[in-house]
Amino acid sequence: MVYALDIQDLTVAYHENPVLWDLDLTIPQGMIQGIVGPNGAGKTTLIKAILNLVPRAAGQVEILGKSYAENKHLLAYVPQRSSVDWDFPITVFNVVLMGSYGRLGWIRRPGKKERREAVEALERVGLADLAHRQISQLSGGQQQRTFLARALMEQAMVYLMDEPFQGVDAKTERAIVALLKDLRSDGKTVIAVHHDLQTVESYFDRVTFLNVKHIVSGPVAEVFTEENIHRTYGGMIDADVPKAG
Amino acid sequence: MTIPAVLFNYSFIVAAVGSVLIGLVSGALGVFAILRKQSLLGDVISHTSFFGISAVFLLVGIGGGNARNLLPLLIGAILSGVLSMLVVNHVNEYSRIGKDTGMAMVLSVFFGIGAVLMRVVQDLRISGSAGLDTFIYGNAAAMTRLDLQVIVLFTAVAALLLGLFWKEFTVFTFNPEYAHSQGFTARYLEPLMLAILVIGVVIGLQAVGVILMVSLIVAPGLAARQWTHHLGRTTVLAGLFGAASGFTGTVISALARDLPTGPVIVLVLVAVVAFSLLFAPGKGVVALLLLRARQRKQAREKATEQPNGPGLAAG
Repeated sequence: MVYALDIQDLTVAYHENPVLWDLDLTIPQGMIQGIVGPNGAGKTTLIKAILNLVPRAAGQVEILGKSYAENKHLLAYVPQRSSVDWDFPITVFNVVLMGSYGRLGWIRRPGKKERREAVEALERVGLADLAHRQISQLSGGQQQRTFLARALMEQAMVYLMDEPFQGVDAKTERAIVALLKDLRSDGKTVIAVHHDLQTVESYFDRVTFLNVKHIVSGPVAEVFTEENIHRTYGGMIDADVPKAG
Repeated sequence: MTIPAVLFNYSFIVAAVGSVLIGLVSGALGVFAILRKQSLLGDVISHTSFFGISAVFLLVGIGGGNARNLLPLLIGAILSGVLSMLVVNHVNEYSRIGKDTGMAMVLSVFFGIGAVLMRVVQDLRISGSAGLDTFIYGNAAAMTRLDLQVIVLFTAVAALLLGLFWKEFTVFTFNPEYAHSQGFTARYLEPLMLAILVIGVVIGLQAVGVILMVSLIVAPGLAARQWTHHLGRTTVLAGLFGAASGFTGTVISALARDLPTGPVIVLVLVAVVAFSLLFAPGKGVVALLLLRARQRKQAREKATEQPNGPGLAAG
C-alpha cells in the first residue's frame, strides 16, 4: 500500500541551525497520527516542510506516492489558531468558503455549490448557527472548529493539523475527536501536531516522537513508552507525565 | 443661499472629480494595507516616490519634453517606490538593522535625494518647475484634464485588480500560509499586493502630496472598520469615505483660496475617523460607555435582589 506520507532524508535549517535533521518518516493511510516532542523539536516545521512552506535543505517528501506538486490538492492544512488575526473583518462562513479556493484556482469565484458545501461543513463541526458571526466573536474552540470546517471543504485525503487541541473547551475536544474518527473511517489520514502527552493514548492510533531527529514512530500501544518519552524529552520532562504503556 | 461661482469653474470640476477618484481608490486599497499591517510601508512608498518624481521631472525637462505630464511622473514614482521596497527587504533580510530602522533610513534618504533634485530642477528653470513642489503638500487645484485622464487610468487598473483577485487578496491577507497551501503563493501575490499599495499611494500624490498621502491610505479604512465586520463592505465604505473627503476637501480649499487641498482633505478625514471612533455602533466609544452603564445598572439590580450575594458571603 502507498504511504500517506513518505519522507526521506529531510533536513530543514533556519539560518544554518538545523530544525529538522535527516528525517526518515513514513505514515500509513487511514490512521490518526500524533506528532509529539518538546518545544523547538521542529513539529510545526515538519508540517510546513510537507506543505512546501519552508525551504528544505535536503530530502524529499511524497504524498500518496507522488510529489507535492502533483498531489498537493490531496492535502488539507489546519494551521495553528494563533497564526491569524481574529480581529480580521470576515464572517465564519467566508472563512470556511476559503476551503474551496484551491479547487477553484485563480480568479474564479465560489458559487452556489461551494456555498452549499460550506453550510454542510459548518453543520459537521456544529457551527451552523454561527455562520454569519464575525470571527472575533468566537471562543477559542469555535475558532478551531471554523478552521476544521474550512479543511473539510477541501475534500482532501491527508489532513495536516497544527495543534488542533490547543486551548479548546471540552465540547470542541469531543467534536474534534469525533471528526477525526469520521475522517479515518472514510479512509483519510490525519496527522496532528500535539503537545499534551496525557491525551496521546486516547486521541491517536499512532504516534511519532520527534526532537529535531526522528526518534521513533509506531502504534501508540507499542511505542508510547516511558523510555521513548525520556529519549525524546530528555531532562525537559515534567513530573506530571503519566506512566505510559 | 447661492452656490459660489467658483464651484462651477471648469478647473474646480476637474479637481473635484480627480479628488473623488483618488479618495475612492486610496481608501479602498488602503484597507488591505491596514489589514496586512503595512500602513508604514505606505508612508515609505509615498516619501520615496518623491525621488522618482524629481528624477523624471529632471530627465524629461532636460530632454526638452513636457515635464508636467503626470503619467511619466507617476511611473517614476512607482519605480522609486518599488526600488525602496526592494532596498527595505534587502536590508531586512541580509543585515542586523531592524526593519523599522531600515524603513526610516530608506524613507529619509530617498526623500532627501528627491529634495536635492527638486532644487536642481528649479535652478535649471525647467519649464513648469514650480509645479514640482505641489507634490510635497499636494494641490488639487493644479490638476489638468490630462492629469484627470491619468487618474482615471489608475482607477481602472485598481478596480480591475481588485475585481479579478478579490478572493486571492482576501485569503492571502487573512492567512498567507493557508493561501500558499491552496496554491496561491506569495511569489505572485506579494508583488500583486505591493502593486495595489503602490497604486493607492501614487494616484493621490499630486492632490495630497508625498508627506500626507499615507493618511489617505490609512484613515478611510480605519473609519470604515468601525462600522462593519465584512471585508467587502469595509472596502466599499473606505472608498466612499475617501471619495467624500476628497470632494469636501476640494470644495473647502476652493472657497478658502489659500488653503492647500492636501492638508484640508486630511483634516476632513480626521473628522470622519474621530466621528467613527466615537459613534460607530457596537465598537464606538459612546456605544461602549452605554453598554458599561447598562451592565453596571444590571449588576446593581441583581445585588439588591439578593442581599446575601457572593459579594457579602465572600467577606
